[in-house]
Amino acid sequence: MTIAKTRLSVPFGDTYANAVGVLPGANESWIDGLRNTSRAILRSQGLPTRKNEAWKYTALGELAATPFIPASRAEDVDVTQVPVTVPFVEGALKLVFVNGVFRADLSDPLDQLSDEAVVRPLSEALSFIPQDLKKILGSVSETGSSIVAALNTGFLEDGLLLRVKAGTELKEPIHVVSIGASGVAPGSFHPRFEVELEASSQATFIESHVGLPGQPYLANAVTEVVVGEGAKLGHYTIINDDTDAYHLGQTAVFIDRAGKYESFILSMGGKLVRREVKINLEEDHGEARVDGVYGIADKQHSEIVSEMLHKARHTLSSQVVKGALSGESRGVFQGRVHVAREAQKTDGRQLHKALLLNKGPEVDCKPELEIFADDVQCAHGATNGELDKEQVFYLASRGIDEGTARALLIEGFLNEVVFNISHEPSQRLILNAVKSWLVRHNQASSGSSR
Amino acid sequence: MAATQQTIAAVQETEKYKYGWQTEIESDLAPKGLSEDIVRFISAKKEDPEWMLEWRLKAYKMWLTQADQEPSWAKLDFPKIDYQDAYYYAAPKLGDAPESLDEVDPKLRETYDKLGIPLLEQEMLAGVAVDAVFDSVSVATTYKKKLNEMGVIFCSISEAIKEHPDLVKKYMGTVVPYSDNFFATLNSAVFTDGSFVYIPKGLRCPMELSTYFRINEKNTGQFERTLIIADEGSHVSYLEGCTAPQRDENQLHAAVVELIALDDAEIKYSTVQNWYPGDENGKGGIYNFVTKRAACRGKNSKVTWTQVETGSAITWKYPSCILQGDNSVGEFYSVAITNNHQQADTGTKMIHLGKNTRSKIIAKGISAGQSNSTYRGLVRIQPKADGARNFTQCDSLLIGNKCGAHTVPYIESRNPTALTEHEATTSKISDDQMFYCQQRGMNPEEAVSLIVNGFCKEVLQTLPMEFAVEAQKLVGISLEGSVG
Repeated sequence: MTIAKTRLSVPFGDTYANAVGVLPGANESWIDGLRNTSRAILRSQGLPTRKNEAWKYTALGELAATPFIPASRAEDVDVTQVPVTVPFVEGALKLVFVNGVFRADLSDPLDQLSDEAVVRPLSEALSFIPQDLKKILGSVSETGSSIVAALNTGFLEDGLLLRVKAGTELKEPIHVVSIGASGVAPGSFHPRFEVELEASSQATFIESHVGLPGQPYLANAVTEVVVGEGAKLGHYTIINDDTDAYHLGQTAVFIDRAGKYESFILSMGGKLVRREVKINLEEDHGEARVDGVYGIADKQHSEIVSEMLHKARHTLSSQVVKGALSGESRGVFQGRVHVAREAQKTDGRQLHKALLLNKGPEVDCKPELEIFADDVQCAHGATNGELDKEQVFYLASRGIDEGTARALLIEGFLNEVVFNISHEPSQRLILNAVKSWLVRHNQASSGSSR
Repeated sequence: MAATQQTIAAVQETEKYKYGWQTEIESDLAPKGLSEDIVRFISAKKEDPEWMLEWRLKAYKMWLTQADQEPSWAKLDFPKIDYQDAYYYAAPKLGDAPESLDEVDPKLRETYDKLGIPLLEQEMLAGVAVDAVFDSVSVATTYKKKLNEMGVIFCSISEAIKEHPDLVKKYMGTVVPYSDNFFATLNSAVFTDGSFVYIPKGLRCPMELSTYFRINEKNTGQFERTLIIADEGSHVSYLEGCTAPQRDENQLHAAVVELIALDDAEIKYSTVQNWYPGDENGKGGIYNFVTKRAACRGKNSKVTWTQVETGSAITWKYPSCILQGDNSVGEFYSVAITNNHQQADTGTKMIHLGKNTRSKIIAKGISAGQSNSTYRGLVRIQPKADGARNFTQCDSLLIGNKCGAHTVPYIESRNPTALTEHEATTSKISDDQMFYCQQRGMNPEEAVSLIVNGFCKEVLQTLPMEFAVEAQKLVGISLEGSVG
């Protein structure tokens, strides 16, 4: 009798926990409990293998075999030497984290927003204002259904608490940059960003994930978002981790009545990236837009797993994800639109398109509809293919060399989604990121034959 | 050992009947449960050659190791099946058969009338014990003779195992190996019935082949196994099932169908499945677990699956195509209608291996009552499938607010020159559509039937003529009681 192996042992056991030591907020029993429950889940479930349906396309064997140490405890990383050359959104309040730990010296002063919002490093919030966290921390990101969330919650240490007060429109975008840097040993860190918009407030939140070359690191980042009644959040995530790094992240969102959530995920870096997005449209008239673009090359692996849970009437979700793949990369999109029995008048749209730029990459796509209400409009589409030769020829016949023509067409293909971003400075930032990826990619591939 | 004795006892028991009041019955009953002895018993009953018995036993041993691997990934909810509580070999019980149509459930007869089925066929379908008078016997024999002259082999699988062992040995299990999945393995061990078709090179089979005409076997089809081989340049259209509800006593069905198309050959396989779906409260009904797969082995070969699934309490069925030959084509057209408490998890797999292979998937799901219907499909483009092309369209229609419609497609592409397209929609019948029909004098049921038929038109059109007309009526009948 063969029993399928459905779990891997975890490099985050007792040794890891001991090295982490005492974490902020440990004297609060509920925080301690949250961590312990999560670690217990991690212990009992381990890391999933590909026998696990949600992880069908992502193998974690190599990651599970890496002896990670807690990056925040690595003594040989001189964080002051970490160069911060990340492009920021113009006019944003910049907050920098290195190996998951807030760096006041690299960030803008926090006191300038005192009237409109609470902005505190999470370690401070855990230690000094835990009661302010109680309502939001762990309320959306479920550790039972996501091992990524369990790992993050189990070793919760630092991050951000952003609370925008009711009726406030936060003019200044908040831009968080999380930098990974390993010393001689591979490190892992678990930043946690808590974003709460009270009723009728508005804000823009940008997170960039980057890192330094060297030993691999694991960025296990979780962002928990609550969009209050009638509130509106723009949330843009840029994953540009180092080419040897792992990124296992989650965005978990709760949308209250008539709340609007607009988001975008750009995934271009990392050796293995898997970002989960879970949207709970909990009350009537909530709206969510979850777009994304991935551009990958060489042996990169990038996966976006999204879940749109329509739980109330007149809710709306839309999603367009586009990818460009070259080298021997693998791109994965798994999207599920779930419409509960009571969520009548739902409108759910989903589209995934991938361009395979050469022989070698693989794209896997699983757009899923799960519908229990009859008065709904739901549709999804998925296409995979290569660049249209006619289009390349059209440009070539007008004197544009083939390389440029291809780059133009790929850029046009990807940017179509980027243009959906309503916050212009963020849109510009992402357009530039796409452009620089294309330049890098084109230089790399121009030498080799196509 | 106990099982052996039990078998012997059972056989002896049934032997007794020979001299009892029911003289015509042969010893056609094996005791409940599945064991090696039962497999041997079935094999002996079927007069299998040695190699066939060995194959069955291999499958049985494999099945034992899979005991805890009954597929559970489908969106189906049913109580655990006790495989030791089922009969694996039981011929139709003549004693229970109604003696005339008057004894048949009036509801069933009503349905027959609506479908416009001739009286004699009604009797056959209802399992009325008719014999020599049955006119179509001679018709069928005539057809069979004609086919034989052309070199077409069309017989039961047991007959083929005896008469054409070379062909069976060469092809059986090459598309669906005995180790394929839990239900296919079970079928490989205990199959008792099914069709075998061989179309010789270059022949375009002049008529639709249907189990209707294969009169030498009663089509009980609990564990059916069908094998169709279309040799180079041949063409065949095969019809399975029928639109009318069939009387059937077996709750568990696990069939296997294998199709093989060689160079330039074409197979069209059409199914209408309308087994007992259980009553309005979800009691009873057939559990239908089917493994259907086609291998487009040769270049330019083509396989078309068309299915209209309206019956069964549980449907688990994924007719697939392995597109090996260059330029081969796979098509899948499906209508799945679920009402009351029915559950259907059905779809297809298109595996593109050869160059310029093409596949097309059109799946229409209609859910009413408290039923759930799921489309589950895989399109996989392998690295060597240059220029492969796939188009998939899945549409779901929900009638009422207690049912569910789900779509779970998997699309895996490893070749840049391949183009795959998938689209899916979910909607309901709009009030405007209903109003429009009703103000022209249709009652709500007629209106639903018309609208749903329009929704399924693309698929129903691909059915052979004889089937298409009945299938259209069936669509309406299946949804009775879902509105108003």
